[in-house]
Amino acid sequence: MYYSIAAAIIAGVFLISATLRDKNPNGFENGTPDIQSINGLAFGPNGILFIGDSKNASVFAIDTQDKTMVDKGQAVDLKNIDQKIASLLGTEAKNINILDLAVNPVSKKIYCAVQSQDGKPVLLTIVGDKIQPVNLKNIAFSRVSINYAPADDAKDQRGRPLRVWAISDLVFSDGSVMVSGISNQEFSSVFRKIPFPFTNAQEQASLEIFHAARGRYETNSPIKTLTTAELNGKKYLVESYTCTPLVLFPMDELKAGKHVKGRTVAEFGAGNSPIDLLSFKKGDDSFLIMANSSCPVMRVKYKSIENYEGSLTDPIRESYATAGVDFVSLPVVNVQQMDILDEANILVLQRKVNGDLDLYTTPSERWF
Amino acid sequence: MVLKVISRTRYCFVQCLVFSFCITSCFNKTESPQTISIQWKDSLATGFIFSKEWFSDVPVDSLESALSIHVIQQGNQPPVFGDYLLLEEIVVFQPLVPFTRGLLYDIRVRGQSIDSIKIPPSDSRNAPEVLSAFPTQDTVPNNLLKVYLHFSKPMREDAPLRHVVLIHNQMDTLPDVFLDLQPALWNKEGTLLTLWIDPGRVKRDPQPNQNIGPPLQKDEVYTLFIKNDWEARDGSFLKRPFRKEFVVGARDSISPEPDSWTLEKPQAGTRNALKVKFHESQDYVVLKEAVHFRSMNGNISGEITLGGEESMVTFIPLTEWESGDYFLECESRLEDLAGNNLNRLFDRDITLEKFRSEKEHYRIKFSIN
Repeated sequence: MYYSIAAAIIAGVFLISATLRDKNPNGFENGTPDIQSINGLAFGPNGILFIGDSKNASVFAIDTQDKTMVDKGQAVDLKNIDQKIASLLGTEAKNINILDLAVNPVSKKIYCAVQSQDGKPVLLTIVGDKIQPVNLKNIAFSRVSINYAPADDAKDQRGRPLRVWAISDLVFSDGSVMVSGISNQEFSSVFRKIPFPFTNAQEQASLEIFHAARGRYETNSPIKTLTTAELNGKKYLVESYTCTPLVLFPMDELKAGKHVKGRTVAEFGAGNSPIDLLSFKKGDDSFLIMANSSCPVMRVKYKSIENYEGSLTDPIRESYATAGVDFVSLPVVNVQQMDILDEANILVLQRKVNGDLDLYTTPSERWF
Repeated sequence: MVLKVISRTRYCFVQCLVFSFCITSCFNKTESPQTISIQWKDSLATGFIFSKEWFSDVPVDSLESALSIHVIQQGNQPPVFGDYLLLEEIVVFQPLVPFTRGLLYDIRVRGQSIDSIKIPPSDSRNAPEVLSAFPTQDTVPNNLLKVYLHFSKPMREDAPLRHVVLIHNQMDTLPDVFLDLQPALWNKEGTLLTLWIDPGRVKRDPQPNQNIGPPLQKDEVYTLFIKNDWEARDGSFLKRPFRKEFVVGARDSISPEPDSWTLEKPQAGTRNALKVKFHESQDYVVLKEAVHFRSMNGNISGEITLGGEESMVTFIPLTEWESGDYFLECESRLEDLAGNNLNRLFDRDITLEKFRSEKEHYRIKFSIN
């Protein structure tokens, strides 16, 4: 009889654990994630939102439960979006910063990361002219640390560790979150490829680029923004760095501990920093769109990149000159964030000439 | 929005946690005071606390729709996002982000304004200060790479370069000296900022260096000036501007050399300090974290402090030194003020120069007798 009871208990435990696994197929736990900052947003599958948190040197995955498929996103035209958000947060526009925008590719709902003066992060959704806070309490989430393992004597010999890993961008592609960041100590870019659902595994490849504007190889330029693309049937990580080189890294080479040399396919000129990168497909063509700090939005045909076999290696000696693949400068400047709303529209956060910060959607045909 | 009924225990906890600052009180004729006070935490106004009498005729499930807070500015402002907590004796409204000092808030019940509350400006006596700027030494190499600013309180983190300038010979404010990184490189507490002097100008070949030249010129005098228009997270401004003058010396094109470091060793049976002298200033933050002391059996517990303008590390063990062999272990990422680490120079043409080493750690063995 005792054996029967024991067998029943064991079977029950297995049943319960199997049920829990079914309820949390992504390894999520239920609770309130301790998100200290939101420096980057990227959507994964089924409404899962990845949040880059520099303060915690972590990436959070949260289940937004926002899974209703919509083909067409709702158009947005919010003038002075910073003032509108500030009023809803009970403060003034000068006291908030919009740090990132991401559109849920399933629901086409816009998610907006805001940081207030006191450092507290806020996550909002925007649909049409309606702005709502996203509940971050008692939700399903998981978290992975991207920091270096602290030295084992860190607590014994010194105070609280000072290292910070400022996340500059993150994307989700092919089952992995790819994160770039900058250390506050050594002048180095850090890159992580983290499989999702999160486990202890993450691949830290060191990436090397040839900065043609600088005339020498270097490994330590800060990665500013990244995206992914398929070229000639092969997946690539597309990165842009401070001073705007555009570099390709084959995804299948980004392995733990591996030193990967990127192929520099364009230099868009010194004195400029990339702000955001997008890959957009239109008909049979696909395009790379890049927003910049000091230049207009640029458009590059991926076919041009596919046809550009080489890598820029010769130094650029002419001031602010460009090199590499052809690009088109669009008549759009001071774009701070952008994302794809749906197949026919692009979401743009733009500082207008009059100083207003506007969020709007624009038909993609205007850009292509 | 969340509406919760919370037990008296929680109520007491909240009351203990919050030191209520009564802003206004209106008394009705039945001696039940109608009060509104500000909830404070770490000098931030994190909510409004209402005595329950304000809502005696409001059904519990209608509280959220009955009470709204609006910032008073030009035009009709929307209700502020926040959580509503219904406790036994009070109602608390907690905005998503703390109320802003100096702003006036309109409190409405069923759309009617019942009161307005101004969040008082910060107490200037608690204003933040720049405690120190690193490097601390007065002479820096011509290819200085980083500056750290240490504040007494958590600061606003956006756009630090609005508040930091470099002045040449007390006259000319220099443009484009620091790299405008986003996000800016703050520690978790918001008290330590890392500023990079634009590497594109520090390195000898890049276009910015060729076009504008290096930011610092040898034998010239510069002033790092921090304006007092910089706000802390609690809304208070820097108590005073901060300035630090320094002279620029020669270019540093030599990596730190562990073989040249000297150790002043204590005697066994004491807790006297072990001193490591580097004979040149090192990067403040990296030095703080890259040097470790180990016995043959593993780590030694103790305290590391920096001295000699970041040219020396002092280690005091928690327990007395025992006779025997020890290691100073230094991570190869230790950098001097020009960003040269133990393995490579910061400004190197890797088509000409190879890594000196790929080692992750450098070890110096020493004995205590």
